[in-house]
Amino acid sequence: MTVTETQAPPAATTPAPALEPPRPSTGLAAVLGTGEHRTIGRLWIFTSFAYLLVAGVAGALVGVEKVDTDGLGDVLGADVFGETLSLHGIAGTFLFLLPLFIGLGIHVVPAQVGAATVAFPRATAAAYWTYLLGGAVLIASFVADGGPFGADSRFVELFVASFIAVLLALVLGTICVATTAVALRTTGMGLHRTPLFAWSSLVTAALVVLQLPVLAGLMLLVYVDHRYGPTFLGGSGGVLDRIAWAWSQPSVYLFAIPVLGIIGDIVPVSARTRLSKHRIAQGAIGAFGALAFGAWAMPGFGADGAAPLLHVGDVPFYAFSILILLPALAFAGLLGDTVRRGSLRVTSPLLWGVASLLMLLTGILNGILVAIEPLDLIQTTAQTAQIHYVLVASLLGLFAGLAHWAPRLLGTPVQEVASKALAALGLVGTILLCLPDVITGFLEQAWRLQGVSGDDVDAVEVLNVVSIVGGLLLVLVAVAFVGLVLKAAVGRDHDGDDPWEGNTLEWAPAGATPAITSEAPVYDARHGAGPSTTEAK
Amino acid sequence: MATATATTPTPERLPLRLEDVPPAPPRRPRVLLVGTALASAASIALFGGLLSAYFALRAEVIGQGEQWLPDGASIPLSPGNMTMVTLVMSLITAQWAVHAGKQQDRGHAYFALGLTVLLGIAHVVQLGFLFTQWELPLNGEPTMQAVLLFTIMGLHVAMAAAALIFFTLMLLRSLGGQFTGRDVEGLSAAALYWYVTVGIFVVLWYGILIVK
Repeated sequence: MTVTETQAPPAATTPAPALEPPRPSTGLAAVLGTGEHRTIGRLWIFTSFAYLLVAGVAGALVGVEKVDTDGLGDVLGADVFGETLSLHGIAGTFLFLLPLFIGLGIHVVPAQVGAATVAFPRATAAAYWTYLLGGAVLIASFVADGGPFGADSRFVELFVASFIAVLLALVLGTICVATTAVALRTTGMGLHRTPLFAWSSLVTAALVVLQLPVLAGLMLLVYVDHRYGPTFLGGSGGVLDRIAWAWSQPSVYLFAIPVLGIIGDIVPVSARTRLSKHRIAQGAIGAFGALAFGAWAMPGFGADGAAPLLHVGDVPFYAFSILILLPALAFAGLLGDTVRRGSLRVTSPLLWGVASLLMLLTGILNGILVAIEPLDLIQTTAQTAQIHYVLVASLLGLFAGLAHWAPRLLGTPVQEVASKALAALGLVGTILLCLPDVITGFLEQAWRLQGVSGDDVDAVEVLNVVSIVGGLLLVLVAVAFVGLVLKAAVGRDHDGDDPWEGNTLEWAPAGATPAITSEAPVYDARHGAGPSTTEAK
Repeated sequence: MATATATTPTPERLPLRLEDVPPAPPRRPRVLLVGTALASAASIALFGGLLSAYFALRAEVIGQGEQWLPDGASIPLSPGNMTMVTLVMSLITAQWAVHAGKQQDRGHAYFALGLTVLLGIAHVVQLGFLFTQWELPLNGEPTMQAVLLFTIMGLHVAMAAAALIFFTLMLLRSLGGQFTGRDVEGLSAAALYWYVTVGIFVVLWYGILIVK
């Protein structure tokens, strides 16, 4: 007997009434109320460009003051010089470099780790608006004679309060990026397989989380002291001393950590291969980050609000300054090996990245010179040069990231030929800005307004002019590159194609989710094979 | 003629083998817990920096042969000790809330959460009382010591308030059914931040209120 299987007809189902999806906001409302990570990332990036302009103009004014060393303070006046110098440093680091990194991280890191969005998108947006408003109030307080060395105590306090707000926004933004890299990685992507930019974002975030709150706490102390206390921290004249350690050695290297990740993602793509020894590269970035922790090297608390540099001559200061060269060199060696194994094509992100790495290594060497106490270079222009080398290297590296991820960020690449030319000019500008300062440092030119003594005044003034020309060239390069980015951004609101044939997950074609079996899943998918374990490890 | 259209073989029952068991779904990413851990690290760094400044300046003053607290100032022990005991009790209730949440014991979870919030508010009130007992004016003729003590302890009040808001938010979300026995991440995150808040106060209590 055979069994005939009959199936009951499917029950008639009543279709659910179609819900009309909410209409997405458009125009300004879409921007103001957005929780979409790519939009928020772009907001961080474009706002940081505006603050870069402020930092550049302030830097140019500081440079003009140094043309005539006899009349230092004649152009701006001593207090205004101090305010302008402070604005240059604060806007350049806390309003431009770190926010630009955060913007890149918010946009790129989720895509790199296979997450649909950034962790805590609302907090990310809140951090952005706090940064925007805090930064605007901070600059306004400078204009109203506040800030370090300011004469109007109300606006000095407003500056400190707004600076604390900016610091909190930066910490919150980096926490969101770091949480994305830690907790939202897709299946198969262990921490050891995270792309180097995502990894470096995590390392940077660790440093930001441990270091910026220390600075915020100090600023809170400065605020209470200035508003209610006996101004034992030196009043408005002592504020800069309480901030400047954050961009001095070794803390200054914090700003360069993401740059290592960016270059580490660009070079294998340009070389059309995978990175040599991915885990060792991760270790090098981690070691670089550990050695960049510098809250311990802040000035002490002397009598009468003095801020003595307690660390000068100490073994840890020497050790940190010298040891940080090792991971940087190891990382550069891995990149060199990757290029040797691959088939290199010269792209503009590669040029920006190489310029950045060269300047970073030069800055580290400069830092070693500064740390050697018998050379007596602390608080001379040689130390300024070291700070500039590292910070401008960070700028060049972040521009490399913008050029690299522009198709994803903006929908279209930046103009390649112009970008290459600007990268070369950026390298020249950095050398012209910093190298004369190294020499004038050896000629004992102080880094603030103390001038220079002896027979070297003419030589110092010539070198100062060269340095100013370099600085102006850098400002022009930055403005031109921002122009390229804005030009690419106009009218585009979607992810563009992949002009580089990228290796990592953010370059996966829309809708495709390659299996994560190595740190370069898209490279694996493109070449139709799993990872070459000998190369990947 | 009978037409056989489909035959269904009788499934054989085989012993279940380990390799046949489908893999467990990936664990839900613990986003809130990771974010809270990072925020806790930032809070520790914040107080670490302030305490470093406090101890450096204290050592500077004592090194000059002077006493740390100015004449007339006093830091009574009892209010500080009482608030310390209050916070230790709140540690137990916070962990109780997490445990009860895991056990699906919603009644006890709500009760423990409410107790934790109550003890936290008591801590804030007791610190406010302590501030009135210091005899360290911040207005009038302020001293360096007053600036340091009010900044650090006042910041801890703010931190405790933030932790309490976090706890209350998680309590409300639990009441709304968002957190269940399978997912107490929100409660665990709030508890973690509370533990860090209490841990920092232990350092402040000993380093500032006891050692003076």
